[in-house]
Amino acid sequence: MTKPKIIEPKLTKNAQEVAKKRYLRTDMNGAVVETPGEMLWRVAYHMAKPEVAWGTNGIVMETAARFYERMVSLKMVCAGKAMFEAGNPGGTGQLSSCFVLPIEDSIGKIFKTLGDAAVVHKNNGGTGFNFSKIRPHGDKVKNVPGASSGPVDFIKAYSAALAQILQGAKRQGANIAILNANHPDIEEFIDLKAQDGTIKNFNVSVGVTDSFMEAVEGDKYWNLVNPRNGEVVKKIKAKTLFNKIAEAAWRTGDPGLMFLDNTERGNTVPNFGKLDATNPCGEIALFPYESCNLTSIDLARHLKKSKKGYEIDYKELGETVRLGVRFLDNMIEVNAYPVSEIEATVKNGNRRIGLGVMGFAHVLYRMGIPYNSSDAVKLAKEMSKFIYETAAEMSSELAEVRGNFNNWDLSIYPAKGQPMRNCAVTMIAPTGTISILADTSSGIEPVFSLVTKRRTFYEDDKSNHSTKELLMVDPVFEEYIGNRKDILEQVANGDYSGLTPLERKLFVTTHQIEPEWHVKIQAAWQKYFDNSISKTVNFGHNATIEDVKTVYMQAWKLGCKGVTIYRDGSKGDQVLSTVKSDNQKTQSVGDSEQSESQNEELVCPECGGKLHKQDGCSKCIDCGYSVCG
Amino acid sequence: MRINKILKRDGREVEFSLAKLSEAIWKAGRETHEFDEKEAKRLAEITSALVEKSLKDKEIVTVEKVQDFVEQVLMAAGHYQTAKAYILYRAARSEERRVERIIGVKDDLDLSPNQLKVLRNRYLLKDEDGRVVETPSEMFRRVAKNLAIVEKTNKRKKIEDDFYEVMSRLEFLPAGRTLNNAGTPQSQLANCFVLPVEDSMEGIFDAVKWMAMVHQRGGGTGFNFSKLRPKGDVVTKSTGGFATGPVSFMKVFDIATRQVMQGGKKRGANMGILNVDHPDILDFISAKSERGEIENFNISVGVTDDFMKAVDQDLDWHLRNQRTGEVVQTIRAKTLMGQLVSMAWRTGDPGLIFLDPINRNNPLLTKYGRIDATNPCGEQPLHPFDACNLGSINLAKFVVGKRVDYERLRHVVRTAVRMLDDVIDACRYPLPQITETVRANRRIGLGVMGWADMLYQLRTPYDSEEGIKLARKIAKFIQDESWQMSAELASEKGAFPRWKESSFAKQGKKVRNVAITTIAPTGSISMLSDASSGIEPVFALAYTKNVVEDNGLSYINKYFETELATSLWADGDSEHKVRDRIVREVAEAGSVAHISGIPEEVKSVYRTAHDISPEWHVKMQAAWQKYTDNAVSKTINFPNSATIDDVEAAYMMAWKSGCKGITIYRDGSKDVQILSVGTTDKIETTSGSQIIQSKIKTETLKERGERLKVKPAGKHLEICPECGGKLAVEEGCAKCYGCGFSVCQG
Repeated sequence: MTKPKIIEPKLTKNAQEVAKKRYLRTDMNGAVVETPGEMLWRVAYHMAKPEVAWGTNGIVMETAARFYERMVSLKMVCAGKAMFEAGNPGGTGQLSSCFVLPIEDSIGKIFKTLGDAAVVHKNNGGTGFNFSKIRPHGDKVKNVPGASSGPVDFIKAYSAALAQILQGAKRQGANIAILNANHPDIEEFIDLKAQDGTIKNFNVSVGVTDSFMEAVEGDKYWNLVNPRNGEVVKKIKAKTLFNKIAEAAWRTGDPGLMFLDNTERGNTVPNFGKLDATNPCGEIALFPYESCNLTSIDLARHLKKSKKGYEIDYKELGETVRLGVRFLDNMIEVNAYPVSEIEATVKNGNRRIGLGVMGFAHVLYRMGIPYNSSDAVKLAKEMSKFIYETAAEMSSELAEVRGNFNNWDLSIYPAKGQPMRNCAVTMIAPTGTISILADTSSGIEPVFSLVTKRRTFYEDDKSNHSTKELLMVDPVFEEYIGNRKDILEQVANGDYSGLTPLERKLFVTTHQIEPEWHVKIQAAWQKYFDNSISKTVNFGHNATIEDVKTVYMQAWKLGCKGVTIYRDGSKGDQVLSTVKSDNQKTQSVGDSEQSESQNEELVCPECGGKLHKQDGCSKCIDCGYSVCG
Repeated sequence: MRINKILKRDGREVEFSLAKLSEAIWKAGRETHEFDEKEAKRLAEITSALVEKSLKDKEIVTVEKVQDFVEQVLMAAGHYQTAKAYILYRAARSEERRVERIIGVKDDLDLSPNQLKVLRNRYLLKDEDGRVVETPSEMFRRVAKNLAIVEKTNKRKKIEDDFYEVMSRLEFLPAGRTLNNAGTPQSQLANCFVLPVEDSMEGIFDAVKWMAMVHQRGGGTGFNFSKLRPKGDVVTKSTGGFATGPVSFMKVFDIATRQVMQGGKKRGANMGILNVDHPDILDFISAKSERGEIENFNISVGVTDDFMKAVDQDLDWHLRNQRTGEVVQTIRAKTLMGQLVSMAWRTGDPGLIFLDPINRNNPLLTKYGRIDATNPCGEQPLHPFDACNLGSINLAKFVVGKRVDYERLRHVVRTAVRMLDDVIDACRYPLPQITETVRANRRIGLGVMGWADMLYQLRTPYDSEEGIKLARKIAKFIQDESWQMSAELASEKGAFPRWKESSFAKQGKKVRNVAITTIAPTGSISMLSDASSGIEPVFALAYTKNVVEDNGLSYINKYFETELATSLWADGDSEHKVRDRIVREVAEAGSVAHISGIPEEVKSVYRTAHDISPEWHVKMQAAWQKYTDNAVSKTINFPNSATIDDVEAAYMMAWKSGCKGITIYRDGSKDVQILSVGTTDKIETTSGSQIIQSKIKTETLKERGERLKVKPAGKHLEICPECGGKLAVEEGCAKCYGCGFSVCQG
């Protein structure tokens, strides 16, 4: 088989800009040297290379062509970092974005991990850590009382050190710090980001167990335990701590919650270790020294029209899933690992992969199912079950040829008599920028807004002044509206009167959806997916702390592995600069003043555009900037 | 009835001795010249008779009661001056005992309250609640015993006793780390470490990790960052763009230092060095100009002879990218030197280290390459992963009459060399690479303290040719004796493992250690010894201090005090009005230089740091350096009015006179932020532990801090972060004579 003809994917103008800015290879002077079609071929071919180890002559080109076909049709899009790095001689070869690294209670190990994290960051990766093994602040060191620096001190050191090394780079590497709810320093940790404005490159998350959540429900006391010796240092009402977490999250978006027992129940390699930390990009639970390769399927491109309207094309979807698994397993082979322990855990250990989806909200629009409905939950379960089963089956098939992952003996699969090439296969990863490339809705998130006004910025225009105002319209909605164009302007101004009640019910957007439905959809996808689900539960600005607590309880009970909330207008992620606008909504055409409300809002640090909180991350639809993915 | 026993204050009963009583009375008489030994014996007999008469049946007389009778007898015999002196002495001793009780240290070595306080704060072992669990003599015994452990069984006890003797007599003290940790589970006894920093993310963060581990075990670390590619250089294969350069990575080291506390007490100290041909040298020079920036680093520029010659001859100088060898920038050497000096003038940083002199004296040069870094205080040039443990001989103890007691000094030098050599084996190092290097080189750092005290006793001015000559003589004596001892140790225990690869092998000189003598900072151990620091001049002859007496004056240099008490020139009137005025004025000024009524000869002897011109500081450093194997830690003090040219002249002179480095300090140039690790808040919170303060204070720490802050420019604005006392800057570090705080503890 010969190299297929390079064709160009159908990209929107916005997507072309994003590709140019983020993914296309450039020469030393920054001039783009490939087209998007060439880029996709570069990636497809690179990922097919390892096939030579198991296939016959021509297998590489043949597989590359099959990958390419899926990619150029945007049925599947691999993670942005891999898209830039794969087969790019100017890159680092590190295709994974995010890692979890171990933290032990020893100065030597704490600083070894800092060094590993620095290497990961240098290669533009992000890192997650669980600091709970570190003895509390002021604990004894070698019988010297009051000597110890605690987890929060080390988080600060990590934050400052990692910020320092990337001074020269375009953006800060993302980090997440987790501390378990029974650590004596937990209260200080919860307040960390509100107290210390300098911690900009870390998100924080509290690890909670079932017994903690039960203690909250039963209004019981909760023990804070010194991890060094198991001594109970303090007793505190579980509710008090729970309130504190919810209040901080309500105020700033941090901390998130990680449900340790729900996560552990989904651990497919329980004899290898405990899953007690997540990566920073979408909070996916990983073992220490583990990373995950990601690719997402655009579900909206797997629909077929029938008499009744749109339905899922399961045959096509099945094919994409199978190729996706193969693609990701190959990626493990060609990946460059920043430290040897990571290679040991990923390539020669668990071979965890993360095949995900995007465009779920668009599927719902097309199929006429409102996001906040039982039908949507049903469809989510149906699709996730299909995707998981197909992916697992493919992984088993690969295992027959390529062998099980090395830690298979330590996993749950021997008991099922199931060969597996990968310890886990599916996850919902953040699709930050790649969903812009594919012009589809993010991950399993609802559509953020149907129509927004924006000023366009031209890349080459360094002054970044506004040129003209455009209406950004959701593509599915735009297609649906057809020539009723005047409705778009109305919707942009918050006037939905041009839509029928049924249309209004269907075309719901993020903030029209009650938080509980966000959680239900997350739980539905989690039910069948073996890795975690990355999702933000959005709240309106007027939501109360009680609302937040209700969602926490619900997420835990529905078996979610974690929950990240974001209340509109809360200060949010300090990674991002905020601007204060004091004008009321003045959306007259030509007005260059960007003003939405009296609240502080999140603004893209690169282009000044508005940022949306979705997928557990923030993204700018103007320029494709995103702090994860 | 007869006196058989006498009850001492600590409750012990001892045999009464008329001879002892007689001696005590004579001692008092000698001070005042009122009577002789014979009269003292007569008075003792009278006292004894009076005591006997007063005793009830089976009563055991107390020391206090005997002393009461002595007072009466002295008065009755008309020895009023002696009686007064005796009463004052008793009062002072009683006060000292009271202070000892408050400090909570049992004094079994007859130390002063200040010495006890330093011991309690820094060295004596404590239990988990912070209560002292050993006496000073027990501490020295612990140290002696644990160091002698490596000696052969048949000699061990004798050696242990030798160790104990020189320490308990305060003739020689190993560094604080050894006093703290010998015989405890944390047997990390070395002070100085140098770690390599390679030009890769992995290499850099390995160094950060190693640094953290060394700091955690109480060591200070030095680094030469010159291998790091310059700011803006390409980073291979990275999309991140460009390198951020050594200065940005020093910030990472600084951040890590901040989080690692040494035994919960303080943060580690670092020395950051960049060679003068590194393209980022200008950034580096000004790295500390911002308050609080890399506050846990001293910085020094590594200069070569070539550079100094280029400055001297006004030539161009190339800055090169180490990675490619390419010249990045060419500037006039003078311009670079000018920048460097003006920063040093402004902030005290950077210092210089002279790389070529260091390597001319590097016995492992051929096999192990150039040494390009030193420990934080600069006195210890080391290869990467090498370390050094330190100890200092207290020269103040070796003056008998007006002469140096070379015989005793020889014995102490020999004992000290053996002890420091034993420290190498008793020490558990924080990293295996360090253990390997240290055991292979067996480098030790034998230094001195009390040099200024010795000069006072010998009435030799610090800033005189005579003083310089004596410095060379003593340095040479110590060096010669120590190498003799090292050779003897080599025949007893073997030469150091890398001996064959060293320049000693060519000379056929078998020795136990690759280098021996050094002049290290003596921070708290000089306070413990009540001696002047290292080879520094005395900081101040008298000053108001944070402790004890309510008249505000608590410290007066003991030699100067004796001078005042015994000299006729100060004894103009019976009420000591002249003496009191002098003391008051000296306490205010710190120095006698500008005080009227003091003979010129006395003024020339009792020199203090600021009376001595920078040239003499440098000359003294060079004199000691001439006969010192490692380097010399010394601060060249400048008055606030010194010019940038003065500083440059001192740098040049240091290089030309063979120094291995130079650190300057212009009075008033560093401010509180740089010296103190805490804030005013911290000072207030620690005041609770200042037990003495709370009992006798006349001024709260807060008030004191405020007062010191508003003092006019030119005065010392630096205050101790622990107790609010005034900090002295010497030996390249700041120390507080009030509480023993020191930012580079010896």
